[in-house]
Amino acid sequence: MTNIKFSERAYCKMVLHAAKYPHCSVNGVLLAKTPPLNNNKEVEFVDVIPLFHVCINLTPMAEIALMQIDAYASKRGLIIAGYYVAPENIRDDSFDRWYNRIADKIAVNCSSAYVVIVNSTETGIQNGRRMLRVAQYTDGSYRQCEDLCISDDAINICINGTNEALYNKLVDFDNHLDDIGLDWTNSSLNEDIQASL
Amino acid sequence: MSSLKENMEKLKLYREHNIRYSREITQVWNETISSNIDNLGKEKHIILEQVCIAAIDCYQLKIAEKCIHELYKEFPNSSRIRILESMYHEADENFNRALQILNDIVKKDITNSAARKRKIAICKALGRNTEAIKELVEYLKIFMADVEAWQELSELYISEHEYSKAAFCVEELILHNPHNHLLHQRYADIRYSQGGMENIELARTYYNQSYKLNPKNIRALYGSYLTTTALLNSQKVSGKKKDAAVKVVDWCLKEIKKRYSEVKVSEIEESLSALEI
Repeated sequence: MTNIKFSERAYCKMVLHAAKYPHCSVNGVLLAKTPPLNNNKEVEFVDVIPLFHVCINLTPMAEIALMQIDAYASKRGLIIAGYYVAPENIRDDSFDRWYNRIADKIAVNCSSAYVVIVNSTETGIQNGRRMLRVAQYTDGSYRQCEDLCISDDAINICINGTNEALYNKLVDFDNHLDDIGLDWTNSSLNEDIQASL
Repeated sequence: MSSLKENMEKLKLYREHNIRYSREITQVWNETISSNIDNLGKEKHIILEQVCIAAIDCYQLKIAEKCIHELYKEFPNSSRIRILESMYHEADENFNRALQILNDIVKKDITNSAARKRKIAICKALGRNTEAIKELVEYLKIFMADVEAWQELSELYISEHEYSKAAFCVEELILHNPHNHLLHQRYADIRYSQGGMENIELARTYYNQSYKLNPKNIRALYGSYLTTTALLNSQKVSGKKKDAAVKVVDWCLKEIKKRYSEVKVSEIEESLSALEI
């Protein structure tokens, strides 16, 4: 079984994205180190790029975002290797229900793509639970993965982050399109997360 | 700690702009409003309603209960407050009790649209999207001019990947509000998601219209770029049309770059090079 590791940065940004828009479905993509997938023993997701919260199933702006993210990632030796979604309704957490064409596209470019469902509740964050369901996505079918590696630091940052409303600092691609001065790479939030390690 | 007056101004601003800052609103309540309920003057009831909804949104049911109690003192028979009460039960996941109240209201007053809409919201909360769509279609047969409902229906259709039906809803919205650039852009987004050359052509027209209505809409600009590029890559385009399309793509790229150079975010700017063909 493949061991899947989430860096603090990747995990926190996913949870904070969901916490910023508790009333919307949100999505984004996961970046992994290249070449992560040859030995199939371990995948490490080092970063995520939060994408949308307004309407996650429309494709045109997703195409624009993915083109730019791809360029950003390849410059840093990273590859888009996963897709995450945090559903509007927390009970609605089956993988099929959240099928999205972005996941298909990632699977075409990357030999093993992953889909992550972020299922966070505020009490869940406060109790330090790990709130991800991860599946490997191949040829339209999902195989759930159990071996997740998330550090305690990541969990603690999320607890503090929701208390201090750190989520207000997070910028997703929708925010960026509303005001292109906002940075979708979240460099300042990344530094905050790094600093609290 | 800010003063009561400042906080009341803040709440007013949230109300007028329709912003969903539920966490901030409950915070303001805890800071000053809760101890000053009788000093709110004529805004008292509207503030209580606002706080109540925000508290329900944040699952602060004690606050919501207090607000509803205060409001009932003044208006014991109001259906507007009955709806708040049903929302309270909804947040507590006591959906049967909530539905009971709403059905009661509709029975007494068949024109009460708010209660009917809450019933649809409960369908959504239970994850029964197809049922919610069915109910919303029935609702729109009676209340055809309800713009919010059309918007909601289009979003529900999109979440079910039924793009052509979603497009129909947005057409309806454009008829109600022909000068709203966001609607034109949304319509184009849906047509593009649907795919196929005809739809992409249509999307292009609507993106251009959206851009014309508001040149600040960067989504529309990106959309024009994307659709025109798709047009260029298709087989059918010939001679003159192709030259024009090349010009449009160049212009869009130049315009996009200009926008980004104005804000100076270097890391993002370099990623833009990915757009060139």
